[in-house]
Amino acid sequence: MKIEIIKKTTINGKNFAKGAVLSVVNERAAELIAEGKAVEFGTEVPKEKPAKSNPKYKL
Amino acid sequence: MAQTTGIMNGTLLGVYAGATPTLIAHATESSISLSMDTRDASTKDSGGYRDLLEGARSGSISVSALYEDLTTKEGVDDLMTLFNARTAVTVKFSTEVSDDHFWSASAYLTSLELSASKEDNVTYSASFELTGTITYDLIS
Repeated sequence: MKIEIIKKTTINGKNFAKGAVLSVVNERAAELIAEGKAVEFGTEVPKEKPAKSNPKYKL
Repeated sequence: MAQTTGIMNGTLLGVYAGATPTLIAHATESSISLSMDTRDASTKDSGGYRDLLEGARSGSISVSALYEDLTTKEGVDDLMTLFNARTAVTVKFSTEVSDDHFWSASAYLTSLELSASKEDNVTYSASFELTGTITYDLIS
C-alpha cells in the first residue's frame, strides 16, 4: 500500500519525515496508519487538534 | 481493492524487501523462480528409465530497476546495507491487492549488479535466494 508519512518515523533503519511517500506491504501500512504515523496516500491528512487553553491561566 | 481480474499486467507485481517490506523503487522487471531438486532413484529394476524422488524445494526472487541515488526509497542504498549485513530479510512478490496471491519468504541478497552505459539510464539488478518455507497465500 502506498502511504504518506504524517509523523517522523523510522522504517528499515531510515528516518522518514512528514510528507514522505512510500509503498510498504499492507500489514505494515495498516500498523503505521493505526499508530497515527501515516495515512493511505491520497487521503486527507487529519488535522492536529489545537492545544486546549488552560482556563486557570486565562486572561 | 478487490482481486485483480483478467490476465494480469506485470506492472502490478512488485518486489518488497526489508524488515518492513518496502517496494523496490523504479523496478522494470521482477521475477520469482521456484524449483525442486530430485533424487535419482534409478536402479537395475528401472527398466532403462530414470526414476526420481522428491528433493529440496528452493526459490529465488530477482528484480531489475532504474537507479536513483536516493535514500528515501527502497533501492541500492538499502540493498548495500543488506549486502554488508549478510542477514536474511523478508522478501515478498506481490501486488498488495486484496485477494490476489503473493509469494513470501526469508531471503539473502546474493547478487547486486549495477550497470552504467554512456547516455543511458543507470540500471541495477538484485537477486534474493529464498531460505526456509516459501509462503504462497492470499493477500488479506
